[in-house]
Amino acid sequence: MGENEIAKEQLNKPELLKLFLACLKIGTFTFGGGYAMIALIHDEFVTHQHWVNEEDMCNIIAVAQSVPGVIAVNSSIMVGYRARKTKGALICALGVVLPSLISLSIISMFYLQFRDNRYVIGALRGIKAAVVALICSAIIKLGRPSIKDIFTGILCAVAFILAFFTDINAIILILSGGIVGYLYYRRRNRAS
Amino acid sequence: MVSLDIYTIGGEIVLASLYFMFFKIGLFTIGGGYAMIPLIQDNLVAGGYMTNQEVLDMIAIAQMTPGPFSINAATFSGMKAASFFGAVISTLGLVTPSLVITLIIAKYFFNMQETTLVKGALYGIKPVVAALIASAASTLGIAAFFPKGYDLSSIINFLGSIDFLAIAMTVISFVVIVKYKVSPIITIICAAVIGMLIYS
Repeated sequence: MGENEIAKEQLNKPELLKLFLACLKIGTFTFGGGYAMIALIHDEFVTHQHWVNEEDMCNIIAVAQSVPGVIAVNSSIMVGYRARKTKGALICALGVVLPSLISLSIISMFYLQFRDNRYVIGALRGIKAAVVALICSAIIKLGRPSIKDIFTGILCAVAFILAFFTDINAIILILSGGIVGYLYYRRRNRAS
Repeated sequence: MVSLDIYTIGGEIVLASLYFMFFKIGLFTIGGGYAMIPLIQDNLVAGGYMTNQEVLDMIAIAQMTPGPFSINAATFSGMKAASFFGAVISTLGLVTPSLVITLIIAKYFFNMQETTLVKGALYGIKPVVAALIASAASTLGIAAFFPKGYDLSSIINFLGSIDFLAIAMTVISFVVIVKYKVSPIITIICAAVIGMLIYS
């Protein structure tokens, strides 16, 4: 608890413009969906700027995936809210969406040439390889505070097997995890 | 030019229906952008806004361009259906459910973080989320390391189907990010340049 309070005291409060530019940067360099974005958000918001602490970040990602809507937008709304309340949330959502809107509007006019350009294809193969590494780094950052004991370890392993080898909907896994986790957590707390 | 005709005949109707279509897609997409592809297909192809080929192109382009996949897909479809305003309206429609729902949750979540209910639920949700991300990483990894799919007919063919350069780039990127704390953005830029040099 004490450690937590210190971490919270050291957090910086960003200016809205700085928040917007950070999200613009994150939106511009996100390739391959919301999962890749987690590493970028973590790097900017937790590691560099100290706008959000490690534990909040981990909770934010969990919540962003559990609610309807676009994961990337949900995550940016949550971190923006954590940093600067409603204004921050709106600014972050805008920042994350704007690069898509601009680049796609332009590219959709000549997308066939874009899609078949060999330099674009080459660059994307390189990016794909880096994105796998990026997501793996996000797993480490989120896994460490998430998997604390044997129970959460088993839960993670079972969820992975189900997610990777079957086509069970992600939301069913998340809901089941939440229910099982809550029941176990309550029972353990009562016992101790 | 069917889409253009629809647009000029009843501009407002097209924009309103695009908004609600993507609103619905945003509301019912939980756990990742790829789940929305069948929804887009049902709505836009059936509505005559896009052809099936354009949907396939859209999936490829949305993966190739910066930004979250689903936002890219919405922008592209909106652009095809009703040019720039269509793109803006579709994207707005897609993010409206996120904005409303997540903003309400954010307002209460940070005050409820310490309650047994939220703590207990998160205790179980967090490892599942880590597993979901690991599963996505595995899928993406297979796609990156076996660009033409994996061939299991013999060991030689299997080894032949592996892109060792991609594996090397992933490992190096990982070490550089995790161990040497290089910014993920710099890593992505370097990977893009290297990819352009080796693969093109």
